[in-house]
Amino acid sequence: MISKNTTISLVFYCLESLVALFSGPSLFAQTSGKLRLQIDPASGVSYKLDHKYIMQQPELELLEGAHHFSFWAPQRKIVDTTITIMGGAIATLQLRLPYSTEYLVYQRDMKTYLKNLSVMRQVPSAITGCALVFTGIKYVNMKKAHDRLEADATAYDKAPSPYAITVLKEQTIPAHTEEFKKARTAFDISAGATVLFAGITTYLFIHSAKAPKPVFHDAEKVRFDGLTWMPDATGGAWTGGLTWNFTR
Amino acid sequence: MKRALIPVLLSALCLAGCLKTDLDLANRTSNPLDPDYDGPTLIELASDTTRIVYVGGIPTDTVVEQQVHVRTDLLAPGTDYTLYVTLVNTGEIFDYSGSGMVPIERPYHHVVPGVSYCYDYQLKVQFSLTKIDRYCTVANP
Repeated sequence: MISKNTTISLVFYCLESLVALFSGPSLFAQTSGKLRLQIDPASGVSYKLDHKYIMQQPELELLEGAHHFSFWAPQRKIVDTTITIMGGAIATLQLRLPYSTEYLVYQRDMKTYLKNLSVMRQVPSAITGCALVFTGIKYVNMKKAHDRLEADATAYDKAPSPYAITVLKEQTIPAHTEEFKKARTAFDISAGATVLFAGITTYLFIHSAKAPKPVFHDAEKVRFDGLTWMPDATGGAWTGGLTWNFTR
Repeated sequence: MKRALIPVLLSALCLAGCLKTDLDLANRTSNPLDPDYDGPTLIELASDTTRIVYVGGIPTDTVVEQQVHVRTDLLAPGTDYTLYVTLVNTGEIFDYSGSGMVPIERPYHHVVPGVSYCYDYQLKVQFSLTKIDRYCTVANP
C-alpha cells in the first residue's frame, strides 16, 4: 500500500529523470579529455588513479577535473601528483620517476659486493694465472737446460778424442749442469709460488662465496601495493605501506 | 676453479719430476777414450818375457819384453789411433804417431834380475792420449 506522499515523490523523480534524459549535455553531462603518459622508464610503470584503480595503459580518457595519480615502476620512487583534465583536450604528461632510496642503497651495496668479489677472486686468479705462465716459462728454460745436458751425454758417448772428452767434462758439462741447476731452482720456486697462489685463490673463492649477496627489497612497491606478503629464505613477513597525500 | 687447478698443478709436478733425473755427466767414465775410463781394459797385455840375447852364441844382453793387444772392438768404428808407450823405469817415450821412424820393439835392455820393469801404454787419438794402461814385468831370466 503506497501512501499519497510517496506517490508524489515517485512522480517527481520520474519527471526529473525525463528532463535529465532529453535536455542534452548542457545541463548535467561532464565532458572528458585524453591524457597521454610518457613516463621514464618506458616499461613496467603502474599507476594508481584516484587512489582506486591500478592501471598500466599509456593513454586514458578521463572526465574533466582534477585526478590524482600515483606513479610507480620497479626500482623507482612513487610519485604522487594531481592532474586537471580539460574537457575535449588532449594532454601529455612527461615524467621521469626517480630511483628509490632503497634501490640506490642496493646499487651501492651491490657495487661494493661486486668490487669485493672482484678483489677476492679476479685479482688472485690473475696473480695465479701469471704465476702459472711464469712457471711455464721457467719449465721451458729448465727443459732446454736439460736437453743441453742430454746432448752433452750423447756428445760424451760419441766423443772422437780424449781431448774432446776432457773439454766436455771440465768445461761444457759443468757449465750446462750449473745452468740446469739454476733453471731447476727457478722452476721449483715459481712452481711453489704458483701452488701457494692457487691455494690462496681457492681459499678466497670459498671465503667469498660465503659473503651474503645484497638483496633488493622494493619498499616502494610495498607502499604502492599496500599490505603484501614478502617471502624470503628465512620465512616471510607481512609488509604494509601507508600513503598519505598531503596536498589533498 | 678448484677442479681446474688440480690437474694443472699435478701435471706441473709430473713434468718437473720427469726432469729431476740428475745426469751426473761429470762422473761418466764409460767412453774408452776418456782419460778416466774404467771399463774393460783397452790395451791388454798379451804376453811378457825376460829374454837373453845371444850374439854368436855368446849372451850379450838380457831384455824384458811385453806384447800388447789393442781392443779395437771397444772403439767407435773408424777411430784412428796410434800407440804411445812410456818406459817407466827409464822415462823413454815412444810416440808412434811421429813422422820419424820408431822401432816396433822397445825392450828394456840389460835388465837386472828381480827388478820390475814397467810400461805405460796409451792410445793417441787426434793428438790426445787415452788412459794409461800400465803393465810391469819382473826380470827373471
